[in-house]
Amino acid sequence: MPTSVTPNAAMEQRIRLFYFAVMVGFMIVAGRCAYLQFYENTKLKDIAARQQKKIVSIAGKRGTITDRNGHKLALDVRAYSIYVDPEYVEGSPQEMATQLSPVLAIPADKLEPLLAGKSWRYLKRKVDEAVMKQVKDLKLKGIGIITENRRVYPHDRLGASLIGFTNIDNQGLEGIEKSFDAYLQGGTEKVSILTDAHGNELLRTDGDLPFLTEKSKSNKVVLTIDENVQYLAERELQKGMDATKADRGVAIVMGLENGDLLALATNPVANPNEIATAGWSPHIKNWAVTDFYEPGSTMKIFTIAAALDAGKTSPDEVIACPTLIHVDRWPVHDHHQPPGRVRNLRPIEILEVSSNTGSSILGRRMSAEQHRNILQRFGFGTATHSGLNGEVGGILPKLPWAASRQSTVSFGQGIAVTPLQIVTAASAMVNRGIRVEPRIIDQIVSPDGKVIKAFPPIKSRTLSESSANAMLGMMQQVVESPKGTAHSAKIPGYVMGGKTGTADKVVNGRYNGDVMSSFVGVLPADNPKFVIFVLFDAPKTAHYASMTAVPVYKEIARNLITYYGLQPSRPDELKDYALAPAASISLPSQLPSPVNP
Amino acid sequence: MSTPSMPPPNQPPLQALPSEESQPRRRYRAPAGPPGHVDFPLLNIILILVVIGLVSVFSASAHVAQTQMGDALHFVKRQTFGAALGLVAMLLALRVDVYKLPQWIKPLMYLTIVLLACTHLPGIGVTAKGSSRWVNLFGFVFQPSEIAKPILVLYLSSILGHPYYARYPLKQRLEMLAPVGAILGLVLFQPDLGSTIAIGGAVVVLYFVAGLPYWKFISLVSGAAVSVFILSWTTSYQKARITSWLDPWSDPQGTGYHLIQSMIAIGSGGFMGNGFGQSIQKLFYLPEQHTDFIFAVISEEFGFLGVLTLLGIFVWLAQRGVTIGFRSPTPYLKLMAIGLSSMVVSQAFINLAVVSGTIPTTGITLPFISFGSSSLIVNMAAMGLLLNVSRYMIRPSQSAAAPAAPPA
Repeated sequence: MPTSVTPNAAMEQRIRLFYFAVMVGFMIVAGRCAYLQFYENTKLKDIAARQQKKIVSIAGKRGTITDRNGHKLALDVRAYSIYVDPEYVEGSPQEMATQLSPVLAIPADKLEPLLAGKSWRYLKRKVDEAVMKQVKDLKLKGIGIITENRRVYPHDRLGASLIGFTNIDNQGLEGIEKSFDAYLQGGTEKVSILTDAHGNELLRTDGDLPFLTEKSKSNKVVLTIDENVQYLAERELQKGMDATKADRGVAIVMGLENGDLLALATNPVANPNEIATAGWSPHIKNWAVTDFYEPGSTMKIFTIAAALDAGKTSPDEVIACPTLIHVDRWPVHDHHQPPGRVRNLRPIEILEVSSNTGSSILGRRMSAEQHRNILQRFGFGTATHSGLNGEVGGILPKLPWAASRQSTVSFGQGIAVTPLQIVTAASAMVNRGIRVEPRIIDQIVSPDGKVIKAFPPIKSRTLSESSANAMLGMMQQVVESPKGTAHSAKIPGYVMGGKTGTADKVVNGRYNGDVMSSFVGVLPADNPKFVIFVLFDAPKTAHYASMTAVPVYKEIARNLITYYGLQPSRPDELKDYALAPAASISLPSQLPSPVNP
Repeated sequence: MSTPSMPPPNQPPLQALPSEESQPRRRYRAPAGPPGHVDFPLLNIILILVVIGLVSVFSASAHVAQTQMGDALHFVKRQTFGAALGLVAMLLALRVDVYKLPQWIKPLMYLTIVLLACTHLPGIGVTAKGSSRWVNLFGFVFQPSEIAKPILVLYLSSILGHPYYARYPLKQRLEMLAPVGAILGLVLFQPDLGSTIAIGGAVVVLYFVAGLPYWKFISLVSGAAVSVFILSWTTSYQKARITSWLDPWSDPQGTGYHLIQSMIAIGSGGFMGNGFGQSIQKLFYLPEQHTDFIFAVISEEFGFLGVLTLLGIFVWLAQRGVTIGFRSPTPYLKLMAIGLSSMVVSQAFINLAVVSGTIPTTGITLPFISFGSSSLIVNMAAMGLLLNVSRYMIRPSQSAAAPAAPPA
């Protein structure tokens, strides 16, 4: 120990050394930190990222279904499923049930057995984010949340039977959802998230949904449907349903250029958004393709077209049609005509008065084989290439045909068709003899915008051009002629055409007195762009198509004219019309194509 | 001792010593009250450190507190309460007469030793994570080893700073070390090696500054180092800490986990850091993120700049302590200034060195910054004492008037 008289001086020397040691010590620490933060920075950041980032697999979003203009008809949104894992449950199930019950809107006495159970269970599936957050805030042990996707149909019933629906696991069960399930399936998405050491995801606030900003990995299915045409078809069909009190109804609008189905409406139809809660409804079925019916007198135009095409008649031939004939001892008679009379009818008049005997005579002029071949060319007996789920081909009887069979087929009995087949077959007549297959899918687009599957139009020559034009002329007469059964469908300024059909309805192999009342029409008939088909199943207020389907056809046609801006081809008819559009006076020489603008 | 202001240390009254007999007996005269104001830079440093501590505890503990307690501010509230109490303690420490403190050192030492022994008593002592460091008195849980630090400094500086200390025979001088040894031993067998080293460091610094010959000093330090190493090497978990310090990556999920997570946190901070609150390592990756390893969170959020700032503040604290020591008029005050500042600075150094992986892991908190109310209160009280001492500083303006006082 220093014993000098100036102990302070010695002490101060030691203090200097102490201060020096402190400096050195802290400089070493600073150097160490600098080494870590500069030299090892990248390496340590990598390690940090490796442990902080987690790749999670989440249920991929199912592909979107859009209409031809890209408007979404079905899409996936994020949803959350609440489950209970009894292994981690702490506390009494009773208490948990009372806490969860108001949040999940499930009665507590129903929740309790689930919470008290021994196995992993869902409590509620696909709830909104708000509910999920409330559940999270309860901080109950053993209650977990899974991120899933929920299918949403923003327009509710619009096109529901066509689009179909999915089950709770996002698998397509009906309609487009089912038939293109393979393309729409989202699979699983891998998403990188930041987590804390317990694996909980970070950086999630109310407005921040990193998952939703992720691009969907699934394909987009673009339909040929036009949302607006679909809407107006459904609207007019609903009006028709209300007026006729029919059991069911169908309205189809097809563009002739490519066979694009612009609307395919069925009625009644269930809301696909409520399928999960309300249960499966038979009304979700797209019966325009899944059900067939006896077309009845609608078939007569195809019989006459076949006879024309086979060269067995001409538009000007006058055929003697008795009101009652016997074919193989089976009587064939015309409605509302006393037996024992003979009417001289041209083919057009056979259509106009809807003569069964005339059709039978014309049909039987062909050999059964020839008759059946032409009907096959029209597409009867085989499903169209629309790709709709559950499409059937109808019934075209196999050869050999007895004379009576050929006779009944001629006026639409003993043959069964789907509404879509009628539309397809009609397209041949109004499209210069070329039948176009209906298209319902425009294209399937991959997430990066590439078209992975296109659906080119399928066209086939069915009739010679001359016989097709002759048929078109006859269809025009049905509307244009004051005697025609569909004269009420006439819209001034436009040439309309079509054919009514009223068929006895077969239920369990018997005609039960109900009818299938339909109208297949073309718009405009002088330059066909659309085929419009309206069918009512068992209308109660009126049987005849002129009272049931024709008004609906007229309204749809009127709306299409407005929607596509079709110019009147007979402006002189509009002279008496107070609301004649001024633009219709000077017509452009070339009309814009309404179907594929 | 007849001087009322400087009561005798715990020794029998001194008689004439053979070696000192020839010298005239100098009577100790107490300076007449503190002449000046407190050292304002030191006051600033303390307040800055407390504020940094509150902010860092908030950032480091918010997520943990929210997850485990349901209140993100749980730890911040308690730390703020601790800071308020610490401020009171600091003001009290500022009011006491430092020259009268040695009167109380004997009961304080006994109290400390009893409290340290109490940590092992069932009912009073609290044992967590395998060590009995806490005492639960009437609902207040605190670490007696925290209290032991300033009391030991007070004890040693009053002994070593005594003008007649050098006259005591070696035997008595060694006897004076008995309570020091008792405290160190009790802390060591809590077990709390980190605090033992920090307290021992302060003891060694005090002896060094008091003028322990270099050979004694070196043999003391090396002896202590060797014994610490032997002790560590023979204890399995301490040995694992040394091996994992040498190669943390050999067991990244086990013994190396603390150090690796800490290094990741510091290293990913880079130069500027991720920004306040942006640490990810604090989200349960770092163990003890708001106590022992809070420096790692600060490094991650404020980067090298933040590290330099924090280190600079501690060095500044040391510098203030050294300055106060330099300019204090008596050895007692000099030793007290150095002892109190070295107590804080050495603990800070050990913590920073541990967290940055410079030395093997040992559990010790960062003074003022880490969460812990008892530590904060004691440290603030100690700094209150240091501020108190700083009032006796002979300032340059005064040195002209009192030519005998300034240092050589």
